[in-house]
Amino acid sequence: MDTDMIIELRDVRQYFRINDRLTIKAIDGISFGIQRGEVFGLVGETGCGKSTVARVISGIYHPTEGEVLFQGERISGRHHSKVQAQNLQHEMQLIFQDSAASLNPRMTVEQVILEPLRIHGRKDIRANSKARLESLMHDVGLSTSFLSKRPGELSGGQRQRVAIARSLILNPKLIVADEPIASLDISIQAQIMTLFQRLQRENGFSFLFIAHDLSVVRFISDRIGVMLHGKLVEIAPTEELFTNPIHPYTRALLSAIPIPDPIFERSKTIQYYDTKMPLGTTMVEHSPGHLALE
Amino acid sequence: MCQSVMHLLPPYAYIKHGTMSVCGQDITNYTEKQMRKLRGSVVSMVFQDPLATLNPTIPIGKQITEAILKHQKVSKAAAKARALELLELVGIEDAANRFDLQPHFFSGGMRQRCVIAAALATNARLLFADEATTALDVTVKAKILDLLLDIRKETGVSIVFVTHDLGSVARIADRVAVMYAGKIVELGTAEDIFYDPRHPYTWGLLSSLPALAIETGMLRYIPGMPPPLLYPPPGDAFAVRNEYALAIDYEQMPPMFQISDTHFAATWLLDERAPKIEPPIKLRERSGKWTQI
Repeated sequence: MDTDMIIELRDVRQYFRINDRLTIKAIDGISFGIQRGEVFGLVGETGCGKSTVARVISGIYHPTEGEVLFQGERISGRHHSKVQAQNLQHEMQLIFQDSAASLNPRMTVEQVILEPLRIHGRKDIRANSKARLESLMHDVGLSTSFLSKRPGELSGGQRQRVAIARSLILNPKLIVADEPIASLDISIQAQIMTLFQRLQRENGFSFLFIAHDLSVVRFISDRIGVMLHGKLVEIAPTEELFTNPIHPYTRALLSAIPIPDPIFERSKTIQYYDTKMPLGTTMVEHSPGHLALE
Repeated sequence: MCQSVMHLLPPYAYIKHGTMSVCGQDITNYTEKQMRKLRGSVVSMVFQDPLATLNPTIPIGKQITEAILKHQKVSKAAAKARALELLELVGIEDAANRFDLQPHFFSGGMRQRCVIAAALATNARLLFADEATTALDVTVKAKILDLLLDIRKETGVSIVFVTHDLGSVARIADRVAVMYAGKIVELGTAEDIFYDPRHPYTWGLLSSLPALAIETGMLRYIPGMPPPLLYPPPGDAFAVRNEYALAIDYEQMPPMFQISDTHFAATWLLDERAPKIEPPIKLRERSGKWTQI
């Protein structure tokens, strides 16, 4: 088994049965893997199944079909025990878009950050939690005076920093960030992106970065997967994807990125992709590591 | 700012001094009754969150028809026809069948289109779009921007596009005003602002764009956070975050310096006694290097 992969999805399908006639295929056959220490960017428009992928990976959903492997070990399916699930949560952490909703408003920042330790009974880290807390706060760029504040007293950027500190306290091997900067102001976005980049380089965790903004994903990712209608339409190393996009949907996405240059931007024609067009079924490899749907 | 012009602010918000006028009419002291007539018919507004703007229990078509009936003396049938026309104008496919659906049947982009349709329903002359595309996907965002440009071409409406996305600004704007802590710190044509920015805050904004960080791999950002408006610092509000701040910035508010006929900026760096500083961001040189995909 290929244990270079921290996480691997094999033909995963996640269907939601609404009623007898209607089944939503949120993920419709996705296969990809993330290597150790790699930053993988997942992009696509709203409703294409990006967040469902994050939830399948983190074990919130059990996929209808296919399997999810974490460090070579199967984690999908119902036989998967509670103990296993807790071990998994240990090594994998999530960061969400809405930091106001993902932090308990009645806990102080200190309680929020230390909660994972309490849940996982990590006495070893808890013993020197004070020092760990201080170094974490320093890492995410907050002063220790924030520890006694509650999430409501913080700005969006500061809350997201707290969420990041919380995700780091268990030293996870994989961090899944679902649109972590989408609701932040532009200059704060840049601050958080640089923070992510630095933390990833320092700690070497694998990182699944989900976003709809391609220019942001380009900045941080080693490889990018483009999703549409629950399928991966293209997957390639970052620069390869930007210089040589193959699938028309990827091309449409790239052409829609607004460029801060008025003369260029006004003359630019945006390619549109009719998302109702049926998608191909097989991925074709165009160059090493660059796959696209037919 | 938009809400101030629309008189949408709570009663404790008051205009300390200055005047504002719409289409030559001074509206500073307009009463609620006068404003209600103005809102929708002359000025319209599109907000960031279409779900909060639309009533979730009323069908889309009815909401737009309502707006038309409120401001124009037309028959119900004519209003309905106009609403359908508007929905088609903003690119809702199969509008006739979707006319009677509630907002939750629509995607975010389609909802925002519906809100724009409602805003245009009364032939407004001035449209405020307050972060109207912020919550949307890139492709949808691009479509809405193009839609606004098309609508402007067709109806001649003026648009105030409020956003923090400088890429969208580059696509849509003729003129740009950069605001910081309640003040316009730089004002100019889009070319002025993007190719010849003068204010350090504009520099910071432009440098924090990931699109410009690809070559260097380093994203620059403005440190710190905007000041609390309740207790503004003395002098230039941006001084504490400004690496180019001069001593005078901490004491005295810079006046608006005129750079050209169209270009103004409020920074002491433009004073003749100030040291000459090379802007850290050079967009003009990069211009032309962008590749069309």
